[in-house]
Amino acid sequence: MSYDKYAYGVARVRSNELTLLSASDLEQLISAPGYKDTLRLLGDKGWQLPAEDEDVSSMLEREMAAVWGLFKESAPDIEELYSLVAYNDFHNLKAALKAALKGERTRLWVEPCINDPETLTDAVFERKYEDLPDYMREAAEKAYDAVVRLSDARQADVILDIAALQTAVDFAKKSDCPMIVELARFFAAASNVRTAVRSARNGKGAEYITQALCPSCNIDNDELVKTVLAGEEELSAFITRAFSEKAAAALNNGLVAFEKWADENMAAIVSGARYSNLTPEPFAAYYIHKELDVKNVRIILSAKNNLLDADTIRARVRTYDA
Amino acid sequence: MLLSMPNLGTALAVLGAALAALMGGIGSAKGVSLAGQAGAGVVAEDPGKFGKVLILQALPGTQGIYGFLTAALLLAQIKIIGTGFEPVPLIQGAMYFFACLPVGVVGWISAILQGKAAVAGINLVAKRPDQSGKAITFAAMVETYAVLALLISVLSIFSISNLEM
Repeated sequence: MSYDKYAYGVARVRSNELTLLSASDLEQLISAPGYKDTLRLLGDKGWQLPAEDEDVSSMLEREMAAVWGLFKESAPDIEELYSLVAYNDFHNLKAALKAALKGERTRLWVEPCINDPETLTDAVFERKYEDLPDYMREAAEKAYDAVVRLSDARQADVILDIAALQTAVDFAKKSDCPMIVELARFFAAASNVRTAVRSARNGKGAEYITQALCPSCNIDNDELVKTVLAGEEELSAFITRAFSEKAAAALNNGLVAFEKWADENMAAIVSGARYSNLTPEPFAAYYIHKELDVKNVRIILSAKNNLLDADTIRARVRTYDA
Repeated sequence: MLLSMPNLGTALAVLGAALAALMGGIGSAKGVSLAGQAGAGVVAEDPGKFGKVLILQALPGTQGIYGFLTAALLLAQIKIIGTGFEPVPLIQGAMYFFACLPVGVVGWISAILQGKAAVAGINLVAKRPDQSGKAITFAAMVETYAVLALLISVLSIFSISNLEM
């Protein structure tokens, strides 16, 4: 029986859920008079504030890295959770490829990630693709070729984005946890919608859009391509069928609103984890909730920096029920 | 030939006692271990919750005690423990064997399920320490069925020993 292997880790996750930002915490942050007051409130909530020579991104990244550190310590099999961070590895691969083409090493990495970014960078700089994990090798070679031989940086991005989404879905399937699979497939679907809408707006045709979409998602990609090219009404009807009326309404308001809906829907997907104590679901739920907290803090701090009013910030922050 | 063995009844009674102790003990060990792992997770993050978590961890341990009590009682009834041993008639031995099954089987299953309820309670305490009373109540409810099984086993053992064979 394998149910008992999650007991320790889930208990640690539940204890850490107390550090998530509640609705009243968010309201306090939004209502704080200025940027520094917001930071002070975050410090009171246990967030490790950035040092003087650091920017806020370091603080946010540290928060996510701490979550991954907790998972590495307490999850019985960390590979079951790889799908949550696989996208970051492909971001790091993209950064390494760009750095290799420029011939300058950079440290524009995103954490948490599965593979050591230094190792990725070394492999790309020395073109030793065999040093990359299996799931990255082919995509890295193709992306490099796209930039070097075809001078098509956009195509390289498309190759890596699809590989990232596909890898996340593949890792999710290996986890045998339906909630994690649903998360990965929904994330791929929401990315596909964004890609299709952007590509259509840029005047791309059906063939281009189709090859830029990840096939392993929970919507019909052919239908998406057909409707995105047919017009707003058709797309809206498709999004209503594929997701919900709320999703269609969000997309009608623009991609930023759709992204907010997608983030909140991710939180809705993991909401059932609160009733689960002996599965990997609470790990996934905690990661998604923390990610939303980090996004919210980024939105609030950026808004404070730009002197936006509280109502504008409230409209942008993601809400969820932990 | 087997049926004519003089100690077969005693052997069946002892087998019943062994099963009561074994099944209850194994179930309790699993349940307590499960709750202990969850408890360790909570205490790793907040050592102050040790006391509340310990009560929940201990709850699935009772089925092992019930199994032990039943086994000890039966062994005393058939005088395996103590003096004055006399072989138990086959039919009486079989009855003792069946009398032990409720506490053994129900103890085994309920201890594991109570362990799971205790894990849920421990996770509740991790987030809301003020709700520990409710968490204990939820897990303790599973105990009802282990107690009922214990009662029926003990009553049966007493009743069987008073039967005229």
